[in-house]
This record gives sequence, structure tokens and C-alpha cells, in this order.
Amino acid sequence: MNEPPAISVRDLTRYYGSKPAVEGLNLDVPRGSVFAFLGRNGSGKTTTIRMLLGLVQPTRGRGSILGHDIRNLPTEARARIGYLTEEHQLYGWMNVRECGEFQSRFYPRWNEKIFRSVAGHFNLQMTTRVKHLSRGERAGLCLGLTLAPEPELLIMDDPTLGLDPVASRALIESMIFLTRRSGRTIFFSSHQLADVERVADKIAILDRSVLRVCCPLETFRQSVQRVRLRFSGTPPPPVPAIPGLLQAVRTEGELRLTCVNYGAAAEKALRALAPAELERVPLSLEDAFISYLGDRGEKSFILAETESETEAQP
Amino acid sequence: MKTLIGKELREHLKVAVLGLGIFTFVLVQIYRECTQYFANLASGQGSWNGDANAQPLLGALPSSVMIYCAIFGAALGWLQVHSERHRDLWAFLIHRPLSRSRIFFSKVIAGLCLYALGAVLPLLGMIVAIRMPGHLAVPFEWGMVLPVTVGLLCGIVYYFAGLLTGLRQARWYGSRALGVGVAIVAWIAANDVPEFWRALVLIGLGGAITGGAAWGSFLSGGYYEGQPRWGRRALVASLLVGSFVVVLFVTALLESLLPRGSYPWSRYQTTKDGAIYKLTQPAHGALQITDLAGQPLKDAKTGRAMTLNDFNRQAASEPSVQANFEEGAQYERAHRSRYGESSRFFTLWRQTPDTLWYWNRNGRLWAYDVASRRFMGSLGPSGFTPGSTTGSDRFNDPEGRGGHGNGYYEQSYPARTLSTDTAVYRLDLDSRTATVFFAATNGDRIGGALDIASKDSDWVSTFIVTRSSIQLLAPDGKLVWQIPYEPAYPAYDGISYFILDATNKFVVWIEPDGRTNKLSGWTLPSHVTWVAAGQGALQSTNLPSLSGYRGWRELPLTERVVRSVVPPGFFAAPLLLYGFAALRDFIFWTDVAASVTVAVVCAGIGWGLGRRNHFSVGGQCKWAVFHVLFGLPGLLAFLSAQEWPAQEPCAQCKKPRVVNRDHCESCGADFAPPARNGTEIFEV
Amino acid sequence: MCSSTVKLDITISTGSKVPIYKQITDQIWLAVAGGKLAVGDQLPSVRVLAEDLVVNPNTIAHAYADLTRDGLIESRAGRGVFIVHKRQVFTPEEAWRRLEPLLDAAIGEAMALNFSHDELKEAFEKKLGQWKAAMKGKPSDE
Repeated sequence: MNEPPAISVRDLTRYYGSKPAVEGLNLDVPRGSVFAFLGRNGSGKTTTIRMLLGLVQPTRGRGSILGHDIRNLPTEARARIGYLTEEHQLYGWMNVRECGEFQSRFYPRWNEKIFRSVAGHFNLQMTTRVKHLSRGERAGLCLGLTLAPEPELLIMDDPTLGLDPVASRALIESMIFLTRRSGRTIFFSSHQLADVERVADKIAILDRSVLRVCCPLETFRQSVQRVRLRFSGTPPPPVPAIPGLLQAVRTEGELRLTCVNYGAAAEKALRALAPAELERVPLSLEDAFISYLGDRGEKSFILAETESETEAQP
Repeated sequence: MKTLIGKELREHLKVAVLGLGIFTFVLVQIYRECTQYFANLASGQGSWNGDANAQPLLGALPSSVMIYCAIFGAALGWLQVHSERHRDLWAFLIHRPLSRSRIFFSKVIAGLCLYALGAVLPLLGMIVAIRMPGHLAVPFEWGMVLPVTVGLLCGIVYYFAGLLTGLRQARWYGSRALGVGVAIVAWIAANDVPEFWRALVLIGLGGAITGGAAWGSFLSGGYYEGQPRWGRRALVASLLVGSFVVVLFVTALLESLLPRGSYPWSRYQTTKDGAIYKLTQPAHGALQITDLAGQPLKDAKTGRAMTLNDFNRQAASEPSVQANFEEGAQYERAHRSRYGESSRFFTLWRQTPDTLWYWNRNGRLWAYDVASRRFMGSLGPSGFTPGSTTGSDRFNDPEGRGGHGNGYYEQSYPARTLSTDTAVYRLDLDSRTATVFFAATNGDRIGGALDIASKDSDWVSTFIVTRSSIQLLAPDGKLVWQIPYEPAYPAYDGISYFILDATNKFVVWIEPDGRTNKLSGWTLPSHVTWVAAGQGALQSTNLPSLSGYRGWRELPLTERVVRSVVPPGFFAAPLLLYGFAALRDFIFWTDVAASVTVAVVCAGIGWGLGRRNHFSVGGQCKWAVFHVLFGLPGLLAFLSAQEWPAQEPCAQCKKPRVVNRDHCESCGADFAPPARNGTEIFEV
Repeated sequence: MCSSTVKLDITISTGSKVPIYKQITDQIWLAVAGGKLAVGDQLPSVRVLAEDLVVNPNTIAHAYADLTRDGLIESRAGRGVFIVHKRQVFTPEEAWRRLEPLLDAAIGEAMALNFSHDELKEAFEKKLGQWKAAMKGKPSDE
């Protein structure tokens, strides 16, 4: 792929007060990909998106979107970028048709068929006012307004937040539909890992304002490994220092480690503990994600020594 | 852009219609009050209540319009922004292929159209109602529309201030609304200046500042950084004015708490027995009443010093005339009142049972029928011209007649005579004629005339000043006394006389013109002549002049300190408002020095803050100049506008560096990428 | 040899320990092994299957690439994706490695349900017989 990336940022940073919301972000979103932007609440995803669209000025760093500097987006570039906001906010007094007519006058390339088909997909009546729409219907309307100008790049901030399963599914279907035309890029942030698993090519994870992961989805899942060591009889030894260790759970006779980039060196260190059994446990994407972003460190579930002795008596 | 304008209009039409309704209601109430007023006059139930009440354009309307337009304008501006305060709705508005400036202008155009609907339209209707003949029995001139126009235009400044208040991301909640300060200052200044064009300039300036600040804040989403240069300058300017209002308010509060001395003054006073005394009010201490030799005046009954009240009972009545021999039109211009005062246009001359007579500034007396409220015609020196406001000639402006009488004798109201350059005419309003009462002889000119009434009689005498002489005439035209006008005009132009009842004598004072006297260093004396009826001058003397305003230099120190918060740059304001004359009257060099000191201290504080936050050298210099010019309000504006970037220790040299620059100020190092913790997964 | 597109009955579930592309390949393998898909049947195109399953087309492409590498399917230019003769690409060790976990799971479950050794053997023979019968009449590869 020797096309320039759809989005490219270097050292993108934004401070609110004395704390950074996003720090030193380096990211490239390839053209034509579906790119998921993940992270816990408050990790800086929405701030990053707003910086990309020129709604918030970065404190430091630079970026380009479709080849244009984000600090100075020309107006004709905005016609090629669609933005779906988190809260799907529109003017409450307009009705569905008026929303469509309003937006259509700004975009030279407005496809009314797309707008109507999306509206139909979400069962929207043309004469309903926006303030009387449910959240899912509003999301559908916003989606129609965003897709109708046929943008090259679609940026979505948590698009399925608060949506019922039917609306959520309809939105994901629209995203798949969008990939029909090559060269169209989707960049979205989400907490719904099921949706991410379905549609994303690449993911990036922001952990407390810093980017820690940027790779294809499958690479991430394979990188996070859970290893179970069983020890017969004796309580498990202390956890060795393995690079990339995320979490360790010690119970009676068992040590469960979750780590990243599990390689030969780590396996050797673990085998040196002489476990009775060493097993690699596959993880779902959700488990991998939660392990990656959850609290690091060790949890212990071993009872006090005296109690365990009395229990051991048959 | 048209789509956006349409959407804004539709979105906020409710507000404009509500305003239209409220304003129309208020205007209708004012109109009905006026018509009721004239109806009462016609039926004999009411009496004349003041010129301004008759012409609402100069009376009740300007303040009502000003208040309504301020509130409506500010509310409209604020609501236009507040409706999109949700950041996602804001993003929906901004993220479209249209530049932010154009989006902003669409909003403003729509806002101004709504403003026209809610404010201009009802007012136009009101003006039409006033203008129509037969509605109000009072003169109308298009120049009278200027005060309400100023109110309307001020409302636009408030509109921009409302926009700015809604847009700003401000840290101190109060500083959001500082933009309104500009609007308030524009309002006050516009109502205080003598000429309409000055008001226009001020409002234009205020509108440009707040409009520019609103535009800049719109472009940057409410932040200071990221605005275009002129937006930032406009923002700082509007915050400056707002801070100035706050600072003035606080200093006025402080000043009211401080013990204050009095402004020192001194003057002469003639008593009913023809003696002259000197009154002196020092800065601290009691009023002193002394005779010309310097002996304090004692109350004959109590033996102690005479009080001012008792003394005033002894003072003689003092009608006076400010002589002026300029051509009639120039005379008007020099003494004209503010553009919004009714006395500039007309005053009620007299009310007869069926006619209202108005003195109008075109020099004629206009007659209105009270019952039908229609204009009847106008009276000039050559007679009455029915149906027409103009004629072949005109009277001179009676405004030049000044004088106060206290006690028994007073200026006649309504006056009996009006003068031209060459004659004084006696008016008979019932027959609508004017006859010559006194004619100046041998090319002499009339400089002023005054009718005197007493508690017992409407017309006791007429006081006339010509170039060559000063005389008093009885109502039948006979001369009571006459003296030459020496020392002559133009150095001496204040002529007054004191009536000494008991002896049928008079004391005539010829006083120097204030400006000429000040220029000469207060050396010109006052010329006093004692005169007897039928005889002429008895004796005369010269008394040294007492300057009235020198005492301002003796203000207490604490008050001077409080005044010094006025920044040096703002001393230019009186220049703009009142013209170059203000330089001499208002500004004193010690005040300026104190102000500059405070400003330099503020510049020092600003410099320190700039250094701590690593401002560029150019930026530091510009701000230093700003602080020296604008002192304490400037510092407050600086603090509320400026956004301070966070600082962190540099990874390389450990010194603090700001986070928004790529290279460290001390060692030039880049920012280190965030530390890795071993769990990163990066793959293309 | 029929060349119409077969209606595939694939269900994928998210949140599973098995990646989606693997669920697809497994289910296609199962369909072929169980006789639901025969050699020469046409599979849906990547795009159609992606929209049907609501899954990124690249995932479908990954699954089809794996199946092509394993020799189960073949893409014919201009016409589509077809099931082809299964080539033996696995070594016996690899094949056993694929089978062993499934056997473990079945036996483990049976023991938990208290099936005896002989009962289990009987059940296995019964099932084999059923499969043989179902595959009769369909061309099979030796």
C-alpha cells in the first residue's frame, strides 16, 4: 500500500490545565481500512478525534487528514470527511426531511438515495421532528446525513453508544456497506468490542492519554496470552519478572499469568519454576482487552497457612 | 450561506417576535400617555409638565429604547450562541464545507435581521405615529430622532457583547461578561457627548471591538489561542474596557467610603442694602463670610458668625445676562445643548387656553391648537405667518438669557419680549403680533435682554444690554436707568444687577469672560457700579476676581491615589468625547504622573508573568507597551484573556519548559516520547 | 456437478475464544465433511458473505485464503469461489493434532455424563454408521 495514509499524526498532544488528555500520539490510518480506536473512558479518544477535525487546537504536534494540515483544514476537505458525533445532536425543531434538505445545500456531492435508504432502514418518518426521535432514530438520521455526501473518510465517535441492539446492528451494517467502494476509510472509537471484532481491520489503544497499541486486530489478540501453571501440592512460587507481564493471579496450586508478546525467553523463565503443567489458554478479544487495560499487578487468593493445613486433612 | 441565515432566522424567530410584542406594548403605553397629556391640556384638566414630556422622542423614549434595546440585543446575541452550546451540536454546525467566518457572518446577518424586527420596526411605527399632524401638539424635527437612533445602535453593540459572552471559554465566571463593559461604556458615552457624530464614532468603535472579539472567539471556539491576530486584539480591547468599568466602579465605591473634603470655592455676594461680601469655602473647614476688608460677618442677634441660610435671606435678587454680539446663527451653535435635549429644539413659551406657543430654534414662535393638536402658524418680528413654520425673519435665541433670581424677583416666565440684533419686541400672543419695544440706535446692537417679574407682578422691568450701554426699562417703555457698557465686550460679557428694593437703587456687576480671565491668570477685576433710578451711575469700583476652580489641586492624597487607577491611555478619552477644550479643564499633570506610576508597576507584573511563561521577546515588548498605556485595567484584561500553558521539567536539562513548544527554551531539546512500559504492541 | 451458489448456514459469535475467521473456516470444513457442501458447489463471494454475516470483508478474505491454502476451495477468475477436490495437505501428525482436542472434549463430556466405556464405544459406532449412510450416493474421495 503506497498510498499516503488517510490520517497521520505526529506527537499530537493536548493539555487541559496541567494534565495531558492526549500525549505524544503517533498514528497512521491507512486508506481504505476500518480502524478502531479503543481505550477506557477518559483516555483521550474524543479529544483526539476533535483535534483531527480541527474543533480543538492541539497544544503541540502536527497531523494531516486526507493530506491537509489539521490546524488549517480547507473547507473543501471538510466536504470529503464525515463526522458522526457521540451524542448525535441535531436541531430539535427541524424534521427529518428538513434536516436532509438543510445538509444537502452545503455539499456539492449529495446522494439523496443514500439518505433516504438509510432513513428507511431506521424507519424514520419524514415529518417527525428531531426532538421526538428516539436515540437510535437520531443516530440513524445522523448516519444518513453523514453518509449522503459520500465522504472519503468517515470519523465516528462511539457510534453505537446507547443504541438498542437493532439500531446498533443497522449501524454496523452501514459500515460494512461503506467498504464496498475502495479507498473509503473508517476511523471510529468504541467500547462495543463485539462490533470492533466484527468490523475492524486495525486497532489502536489509548491507555491514559498515551498510545500503547497500534496493530491489526488479530495481532493484538495473539499478542495477549494467558498462561496457566499448575503446581501440585505446594503453593506457587513468587511470580518471576517477565517483560510484558500484565497480570498475575495466584490461587491454591495455580498461577495464572496474562502477558504480552510471550516469547521463548518468557517460556524459559516460566519452565524454570518447574510447574506440573504449563498451558496456554486462548483469550476472547474482550478478555484480552480487559486484561490489557485493567489494573496491572498481582492478585493473591491464598488462604492463611494454618487454615490450609487443617483443610488438607481428609 | 443563505441556508444558514434561513436556519438561524427560523430558529430564533420566537425571540424576535416576543421582543416585538413587548416593545410594541411599551411604546403604545408611552404614546397613549402623551396623547392623554394633550387631551388633559385641551380639557383644562392638566398643566404643562416640562418640554420633554410633550415630545416623547426627547423625553420618555430615549431611555426606554436604550434599556429595551440593550436587553433585547444582549439576549438575542447570547441565545444565538447558547442554543448550540452542546459540543456535538457545535461540531455539527462547524464541520461543513463553509469557512467559520462565513458561518459567523451568517449568524450575525440573521441576528441583525431579527433585531430589526424586534426593535427597529416597532420604533419606526412609533415615529410615524408621532410625526403625523394632529397626533401630538408639539414641534417635530427629524433631528429629534437621533437619541433613539443612538439607543438602537447601542443595542447592536450589546448584541455583539451577548455573542461574546456566550462564546468565551472563561475561567473566572465574571470575566465572561466583561465584554458587556464595552456596551455599557458606549451607552454612557453616547448619552453624554454633545454631538451626534461623536456618539456615532463611539458606538462604531464599541461595535467594532466587540464584533471583532466575537468573531475571533467564534473562530477559535472560545479560546484565546488559535484566534486570528485582530480577533485577539479586539478581545483584549473589550476586556480592557470591561475591566475599566469594574475598576471605576470599585474606585467609586472606595471613594464614597473615604472622608472627603469639599471643593474649595469663593465668590462675592451683594446684599439687599447694597453692601458686598465675600464667601469662601476652604477645602477643610467651615464656610466663611467676610466683608471686603476681611472682617467676618457676624449675626447681629447672636453675635456669632452668620450662617449661610441667614445670609442668603439677605442676598439681593440677581438677574443676569450673558452678552453676546455674534451673528444669530453662531450664537446658537456656541451655546447649544446636547443633541438629545429638548431645549436644543424648542421650549414651551406659553400656554393660552386654546393655543400652545413654542419657541423653536428656527427663531420663531410656533402655535399649536390645543384641541385639534394641529399646527397653526409661526410668529416672527414682522408678524404671524399662518400655516408656515418659516418667515422672512426670526428672533434671536433666548437661551442666551441666563440668570437666576432668588427670592422676590425672578426671570419672567413666560417672557414678555424677544429680541433681534437691532430691537427688542413686545409679544402679544392673543392677537399674534409683535411690536417694537426698544430699538437700538445709531448702528448699535442688542446683546441680550431679560424680563423681570416679581411675586406681585408678571412684568416689572426689562433689562437690555447693547454694545454701548446697559439699561433698565419699565413695561411702558420708559427708561429707568442707563449706564455705559464699560469695560467692553468681548473681555467682559457677564452683566448682572442686584435690585435694592428699599432705596430704589441697583448694583450693576460687569464680569470678565471666564476663559479670558483664566488665560490672563485671573487678573481681570470685576467692575461694580451703584446706580439710582432716574439718575444713572452714582459710584463704581473694581474688585479682584476670585477664581472658582483652582481648588481642584488641593484634593486630599487618598483621593488622588484612588484616581490614579485611570490608565494613561484613557486620558485620551475626554479628547474624543468633549474636544480639545477638555485638555485644559479636566487633566492635571500630577494625576497623569500618578497614573503612569501605577501603569509602570503593572507593566512590571506583566513582564514577570511573561518571563515565567517564556513569552517571545516581541510578545513581551508589545505587552509592556500595552501595560504602560492601560495600567490596572490592562493588567486585568491581560490576566483574563491570556491562557497559561502548562509547564513541565525538561527531560534533558531539568528546567521548566512550556508544553506547547516543540523545543525547550533552555536547551533546545525536543519532547521525549512518552515512556514505554514494555507492554506496547506496534505493528504496521 | 452443480454450479449454483449454495445457501451457507454459517453462524459466527463474537466474544468467543475462537477468532471469527477461524469460526468460518471451521464451519465450512464441517459442512464439507458432513456432506452439506459438495465438490463443485459455489461459495458466496467475499463481499456477499461479509454483508450477510455483518463482518469485515477482510476477515472473510482471510478465511477464504486459509481454505485456499488448505486446498479446500479455489477462486476462479470471473466466476467465483468453488469447492474443489480436497488435497491432503496435512501430515498425519498435523491431522492428529487437529482431531485430538475434539476427541478429548467428546470423551470428557461423556465421562461427566457417566457413560461407561462400552456405552461410549457403542455410541461412536452408531454415529459412524449414520454418517456413512448419509454420505452414500454422494461422490466421495478415498
